[in-house]
Amino acid sequence: MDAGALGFLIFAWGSIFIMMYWSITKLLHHEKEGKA
Amino acid sequence: MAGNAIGLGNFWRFPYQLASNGGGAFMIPYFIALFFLGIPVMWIEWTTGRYGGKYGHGTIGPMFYLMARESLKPKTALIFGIIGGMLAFSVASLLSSYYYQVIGWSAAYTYYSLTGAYFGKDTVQFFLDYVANTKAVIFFWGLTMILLGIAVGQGVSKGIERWVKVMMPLLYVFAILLVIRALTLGSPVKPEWSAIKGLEYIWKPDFQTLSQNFFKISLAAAGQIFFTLSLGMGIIHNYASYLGPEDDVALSGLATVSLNEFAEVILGGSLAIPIAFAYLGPEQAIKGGVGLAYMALPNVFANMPAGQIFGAMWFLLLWFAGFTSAIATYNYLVAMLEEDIHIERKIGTWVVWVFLFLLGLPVALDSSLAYLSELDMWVGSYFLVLLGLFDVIVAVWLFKPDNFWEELHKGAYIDVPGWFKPIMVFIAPLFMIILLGGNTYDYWQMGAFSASEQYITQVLGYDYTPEVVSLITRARIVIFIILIIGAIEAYMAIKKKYGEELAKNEVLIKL
Repeated sequence: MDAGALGFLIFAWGSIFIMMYWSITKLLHHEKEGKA
Repeated sequence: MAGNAIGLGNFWRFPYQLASNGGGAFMIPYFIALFFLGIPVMWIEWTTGRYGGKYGHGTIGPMFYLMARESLKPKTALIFGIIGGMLAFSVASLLSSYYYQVIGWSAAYTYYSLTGAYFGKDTVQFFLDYVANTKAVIFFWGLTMILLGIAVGQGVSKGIERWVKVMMPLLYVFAILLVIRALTLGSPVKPEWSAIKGLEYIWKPDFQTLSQNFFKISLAAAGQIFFTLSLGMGIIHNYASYLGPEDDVALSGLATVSLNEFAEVILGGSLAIPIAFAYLGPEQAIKGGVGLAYMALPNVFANMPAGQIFGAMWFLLLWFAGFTSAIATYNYLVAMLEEDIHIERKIGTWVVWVFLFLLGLPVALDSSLAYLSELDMWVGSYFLVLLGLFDVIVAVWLFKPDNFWEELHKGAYIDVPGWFKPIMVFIAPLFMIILLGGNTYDYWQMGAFSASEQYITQVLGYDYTPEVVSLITRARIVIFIILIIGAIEAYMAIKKKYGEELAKNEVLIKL
């Protein structure tokens, strides 16, 4: 695979993974706290 | 919101928009639009909806009016309420007229997978034959619409929520398995055709193609961000209106964006185009148009063990994902009748049903899909971004940036970084003005407003024939009529509750 394409793919997928992991874990944490 | 976060937009619309707008050229403005428009406008719409909900409103017209009153006299604020209500009504109804058809395609492909109808056949021709088979199209679309009517009319949202909790995670798991299958296909037809080439087409930044068609590609990318996140439609406003005044919107909005982008970019982006590159070749993948996902994916099921079962399961999950999203647009229209004209929900559901059926008929009867493409061109890109611009003008500028910032942070689980404020106040609206202005200029130059040959062949990708011109003209007449109805409805809705303060031209109702 072309290096430029691979770089863009890693950047895009990585950013989305980080954003998803951060927001979902934080949201679940707050919901757990709210229920407790 | 979970059911609405993942939908057909991820697996059907994203790949075809991406393929027909230059692949790697599209992804550059797509990510810029995600950051500078998608996330900020998502926060703006959640905040606007929750604010309107405090006054008992679930539709955009009165919400915009209320917020615009902070800076303007009621009579002037009314103009913004009418514009917002008009655009939201037009988007919700016109988008439903073709989106429900695509959900019907998934119902049809569930059946065709089970019976193995497309196995061993040319899947491109199979799709074209299907859309030309008016009886089958109307049957599967009609079936979907009847089920939608029952779901909305009977108020079975609790039952649907239970299904969502099972079906949505299953769709994610299934999509992940399909992505693995797609990316390990190799070259099943010709050595020069491969799924990895498809992935390369998507991810190789193509600045040259982008610079040649800058406004068209950028507006398509921004439109896709709006479409996939259900922004610029009134749906988010409507959902958020049910929230309590201290419920979080900041983190919830961000979580909705990220879940959806995972489904779209990572899953949706790794299916239809790579599979089409491997089985149909690059040329067909790029010109596949609105049917791309339905032309490409059946090839995987036709060439795997137990493909009939897996294919049926995939299309059923996809149908369900579309179905849950469709409930949202349907609900918006029913809520409008319920709130603004006080029509009972059960009756309103079937009034909307007949209205949407009539709007959808021309789409179902057009086997060339030119009518659908024209509607999607204006509604799915242009109108969504235009409503997004009015979101900012009203909820940030007229409501005043400090008021908005305070409203956004009420009950928030996170502190939105301060540098997002100038993005919302200046960069996002400027971005949308440039996109809409530049695109309008380009269209005017190529004679798009008179349905010129250049527009039809280059933008829509159809041959310039009298039939296509006639379909495009009809689509535009329908858009125009719906805009007028939307404006009248919004005016009546605001006048009904705020008639007295409009007459006196001073604010009387304030919480």
